[in-house]
Amino acid sequence: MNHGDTLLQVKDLKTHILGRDGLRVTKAVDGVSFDLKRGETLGIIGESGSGKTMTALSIMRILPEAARVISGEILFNGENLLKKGDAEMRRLRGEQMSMILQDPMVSLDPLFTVGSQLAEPLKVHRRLSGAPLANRMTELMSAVSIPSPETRLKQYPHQMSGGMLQRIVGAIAISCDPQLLIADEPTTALDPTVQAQFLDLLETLRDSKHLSVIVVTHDFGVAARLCDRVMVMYAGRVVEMGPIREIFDHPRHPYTKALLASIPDATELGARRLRSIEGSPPDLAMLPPGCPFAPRCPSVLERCHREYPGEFRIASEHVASCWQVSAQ
Amino acid sequence: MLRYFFSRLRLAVITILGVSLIVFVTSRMSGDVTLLLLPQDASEADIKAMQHELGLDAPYYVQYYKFLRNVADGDFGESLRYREPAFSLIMSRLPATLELAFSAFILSTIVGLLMGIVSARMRSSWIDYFSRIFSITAQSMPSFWVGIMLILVFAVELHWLPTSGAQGVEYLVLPVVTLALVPIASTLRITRSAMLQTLDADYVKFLRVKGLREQFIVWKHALRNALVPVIAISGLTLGFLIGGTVIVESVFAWPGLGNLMVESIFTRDYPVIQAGVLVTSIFLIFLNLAVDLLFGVIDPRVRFG
Repeated sequence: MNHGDTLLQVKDLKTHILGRDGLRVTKAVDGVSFDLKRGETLGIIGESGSGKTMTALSIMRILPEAARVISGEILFNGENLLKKGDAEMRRLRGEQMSMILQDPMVSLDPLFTVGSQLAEPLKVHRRLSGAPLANRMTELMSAVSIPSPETRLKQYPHQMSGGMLQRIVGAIAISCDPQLLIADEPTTALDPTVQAQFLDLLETLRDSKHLSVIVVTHDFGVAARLCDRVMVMYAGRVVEMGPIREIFDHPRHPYTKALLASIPDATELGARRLRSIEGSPPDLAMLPPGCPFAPRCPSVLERCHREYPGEFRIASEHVASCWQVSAQ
Repeated sequence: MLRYFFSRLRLAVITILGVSLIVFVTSRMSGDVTLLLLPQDASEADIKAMQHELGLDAPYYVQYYKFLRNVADGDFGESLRYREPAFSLIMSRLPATLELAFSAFILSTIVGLLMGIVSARMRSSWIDYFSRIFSITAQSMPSFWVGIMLILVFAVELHWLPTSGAQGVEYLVLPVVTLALVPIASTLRITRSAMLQTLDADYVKFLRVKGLREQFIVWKHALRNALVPVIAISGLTLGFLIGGTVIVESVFAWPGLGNLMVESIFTRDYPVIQAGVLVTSIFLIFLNLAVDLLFGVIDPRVRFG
């Protein structure tokens, strides 16, 4: 079935985390909406605790026990994932949508061989066994450029480096040719030299397998490298969204500006101190009524403390939620 | 692997020697056996003669040296009370004790694992609260009291099971339950916390990403990971169980090694005490070695050396 150009559509998603007493509610994701076109790569950028990983886990429907999707819709190929039963969801996961986690060193079960863990989704979703299974596994290992795949498949995770493990995690994630791949901070736990290699690999896989990708990251460098569009999140909300060049060249939201200004520049190393954003992210269980960024915002207006700004369209694909933008 | 085995073997020999020395000295320090063997009105000369006959008048180090030499020849001496070789006496009682200890071990492993898994999967449910209260209660009750209470309820009042003795399977139930209670509780607690930790791990999240069934994730991946700490304590559990038989066998008049040991301590039957302690300690040392080697089978990260 073809549902036009759009693979994934998230509408007003709210994911809240309930405290143990049932009273404290943390609004981890608070009304997030976005689209993902086929073959497109979208970056979700923000600090830790901005709700970017929670958004990803909500889409995969593998939220931790305390977290609930309170409202919203997640349309995947036109079907609402939030209305699907567990069994249906399980058939989609690993088969049509997949995910790469942050730390490859803990993404695989230490007690089982890499091969047995690569075989699992192929057995479950593709019902492969025997020679076809072995062939497919070797093929996948080559696709993520692992040398001597037959030997590696028989080894355990602790016998491999982080970079190699992340490539194997990648191989497992794409083993059933999914349409959607979510990469949650895929390079954060890797060495800088290995990071570049893995980003190359991700790019190659995306282009050769026609994947639609969501990259969750706090690193504008990673986003610039891979993404067509980025979505900047703060305190569980989307504050700015637009094509990557637009965001880089003409950021409109003060938070985006601050994030871009905090990227260390190698050319002026030592020339100035690292710039950081004053203050700290708000407590998501006790959000102020207005804009959550207001307390840290350098160009705050009186209105910002009272009312949450709506979404203002700057260009056809560029939107930002800020009273400053509306004033201009 | 082989080097590891031999270094453990060397350590085992040292441990056994240490155990033998401690048992040898303490049993002799507990009192003079000749006073129990001779009539009350025996003369000083009679006592001296008896001590000489049994070789007890020699200094400890001479006696100990003789004991070790005899043990090396497979001779643990003769029981002072039964006038029978101590070793064969021990061996005739050992099977009954092992039957008790291993039944309790199997029971505690199965029940503890199951309760721990269910408790972790249904965290904060009434089953979980019950398991936690059970494990605290079970670990704080002394086994002699538990044994007597079980006899009172199931044998005296309800007549479901026999009070004591060993004439069939039904005689095994109460002593095994008494003995297994504490290890059930400890296995339960370790399984529960290991399981909770495992189910929270990133690799479990990734298994869910792959679209695997929750039952498969729990019983294949999480359980195997949770088994690692359970196996780690199983050597200790076995030691506890074999030591615990001393009390339980007394309560249930079980004709095992524990009962024989208590009896031998009261009658200062040195050769039997020595043989009993040595045999059980050798047994436990090798069980622990087997447990450690089992680690390598279940966890590929374990390297021996």
